[in-house]
Amino acid sequence: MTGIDMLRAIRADEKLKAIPVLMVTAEAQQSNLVEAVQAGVSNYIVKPFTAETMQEKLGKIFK
Amino acid sequence: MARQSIMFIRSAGGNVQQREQKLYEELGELVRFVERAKKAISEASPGILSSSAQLPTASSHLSDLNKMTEEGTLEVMRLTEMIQDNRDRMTKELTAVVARLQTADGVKLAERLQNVAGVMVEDGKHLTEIMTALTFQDLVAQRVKKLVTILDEVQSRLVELVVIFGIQQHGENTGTEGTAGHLLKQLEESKKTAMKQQVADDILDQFGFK
Repeated sequence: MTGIDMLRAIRADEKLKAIPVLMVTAEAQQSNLVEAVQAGVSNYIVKPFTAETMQEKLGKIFK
Repeated sequence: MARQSIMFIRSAGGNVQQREQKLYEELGELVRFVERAKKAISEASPGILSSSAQLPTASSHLSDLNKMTEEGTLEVMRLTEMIQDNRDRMTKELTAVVARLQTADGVKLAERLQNVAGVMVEDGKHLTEIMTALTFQDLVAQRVKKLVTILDEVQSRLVELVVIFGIQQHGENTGTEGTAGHLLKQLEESKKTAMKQQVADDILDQFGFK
């Protein structure tokens, strides 16, 4: 199961769909990002990343 | 067809001038050489095919390497997570002990235990940094996969060339430019697929992520 598959499964589940999903991926392609957005990702981090980036993204999700 | 050509050359040879005789002899030798080469290639091909199948390929080594680093990294990450969980539990315990000791006037002892808790929190941060550092494995795996694809392609092309032209042929330009061009194209494509966080953020902005 890929990350996108997992995201779709979460969004399709009534009990889980409200959970924010931050994707951390090395599959750094524009098409992957667009696919993730369409699947309902909360935010997206490209590897390698810094602690500051992670903090910033989490901050945006939980603001 | 080659034999017919030789017969034709031989029969025609009697009717031409002396200086042309040499040319016909050369042509006849050339035809015989081509025929011998065809026979040699045809006999050698099965052997080449079977030996090439036995060649230890670099791609299989790289695949093993990829698998081993992946397994190793996952194990380190699993253990690190367990240590982090344990440290969280111990920190909670220590905090509770400190609270108890403070009420029992064990201020000095409480202070020292508080220091221990502080160190553990610090180590917890270090463990998180270790896990973050291990994310390199995904990037390495992607590069290795690309390399394996390239090697497989090069290997199959080389085997193809060996089978077609025979191992005795050398010094010829046997399509190296085409292979190199293909490799360069693949490398160029791999560069294009790499996306930085800034680019990702710009795209996310377009989708209304603020």
